[in-house]
Amino acid sequence: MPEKDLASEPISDLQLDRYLAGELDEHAAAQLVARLAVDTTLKARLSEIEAARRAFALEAPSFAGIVASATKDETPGFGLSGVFAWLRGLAAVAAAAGVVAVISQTGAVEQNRTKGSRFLEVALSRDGVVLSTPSTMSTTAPVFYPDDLVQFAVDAGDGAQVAVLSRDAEGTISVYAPTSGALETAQGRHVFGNSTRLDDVVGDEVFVGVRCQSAVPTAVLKDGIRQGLAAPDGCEFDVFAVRKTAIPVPQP
Amino acid sequence: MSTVDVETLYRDHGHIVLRRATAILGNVDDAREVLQDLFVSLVQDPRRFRQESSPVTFLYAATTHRALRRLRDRKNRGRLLDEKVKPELATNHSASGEQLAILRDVLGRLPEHLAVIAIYTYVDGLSQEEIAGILGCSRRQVGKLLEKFHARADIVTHLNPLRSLGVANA
Repeated sequence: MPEKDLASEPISDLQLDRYLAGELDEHAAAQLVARLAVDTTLKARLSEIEAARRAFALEAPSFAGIVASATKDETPGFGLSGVFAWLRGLAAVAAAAGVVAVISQTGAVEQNRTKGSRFLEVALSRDGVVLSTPSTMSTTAPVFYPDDLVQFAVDAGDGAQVAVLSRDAEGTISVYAPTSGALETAQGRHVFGNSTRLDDVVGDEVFVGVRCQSAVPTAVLKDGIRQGLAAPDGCEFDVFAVRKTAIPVPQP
Repeated sequence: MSTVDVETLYRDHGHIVLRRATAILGNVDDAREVLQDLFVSLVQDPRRFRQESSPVTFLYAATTHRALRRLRDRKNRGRLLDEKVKPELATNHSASGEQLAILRDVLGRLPEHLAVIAIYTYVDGLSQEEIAGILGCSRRQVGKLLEKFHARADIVTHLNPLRSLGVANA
């Protein structure tokens, strides 16, 4: 498209987006840079757009999920409350299509839930196909593989500070959601917008849903997890144990 | 265009779709559905992006089209008004909320080619030359469509308040 004179005419978001994408020609880009040097409003707007781009990179649903949705000819929503509905829909389609979508029930890893009602939900997507959205806990641990994508939701009730942490087989404790690494204020059923790709540390791993009455440093939560999954005062843990194994090699 | 290319487009420019759809629809949840809808359609048929325009320009046009389609959905429009606008009017009696509702309602009722012109002109603040570049037509055609829009909509007085609401910069 023809470039407008960016030295004097109003600059739209379209031009800023094209600038950030490297689509402006050299002359137009130079004009815009000159305007940015003197126009604080324009500069602020560019910063807003850049911030939105960074937030999208961190929090947007995975593209693999979108591909999976496309292959199933579904276009469900994936707003914060829609992620799990979307995954459930895919699971149903996968089952109908005869996809073997069973999370193996091996081992006897006890599910530890410290107290209170169950409030953590875990959804699993593997190779773009949703294998299960376990809504109930069993007495054995489902098997997860490295590179599996997991997403989480919690019931925050009337309002709580929430997060999901993990302790892997090597004892490493990580914050899986939210991406900020700190507890997030939520109310009702709260789906974390990000998904987590599991690393290659195999063995028993636990996902720990956290629900607190007030903000608690994640260091305190990690200490509680390290010390026998003991929730600090004012907090509840809901623990979902899985067994992570290496991806099985098909036998000839 | 391969699936890999679509993924690159999603990662690099998905934020543009989300921001723009939010600006048009005034609702981030609906905007997320537009985002997914658009990229699902590209995965299913990558030829939709024929690369005759730049990726950003293509996504602007595609987002406008899909957001308008949602506005034109009577059921959705009614929901938008009920969920987003009526509560705003209940707590804020300024004219801007009402004008915003009127504008979105009118955009949903206009023929798409006129609604598109209105969005590019009044929401995006694009010049006729830029709009012509996006739509692949002449500047003169854009001017004629804008005249038709004015004649059909008679809502010009409601458009500047929309910009003052920050919708153009959402």
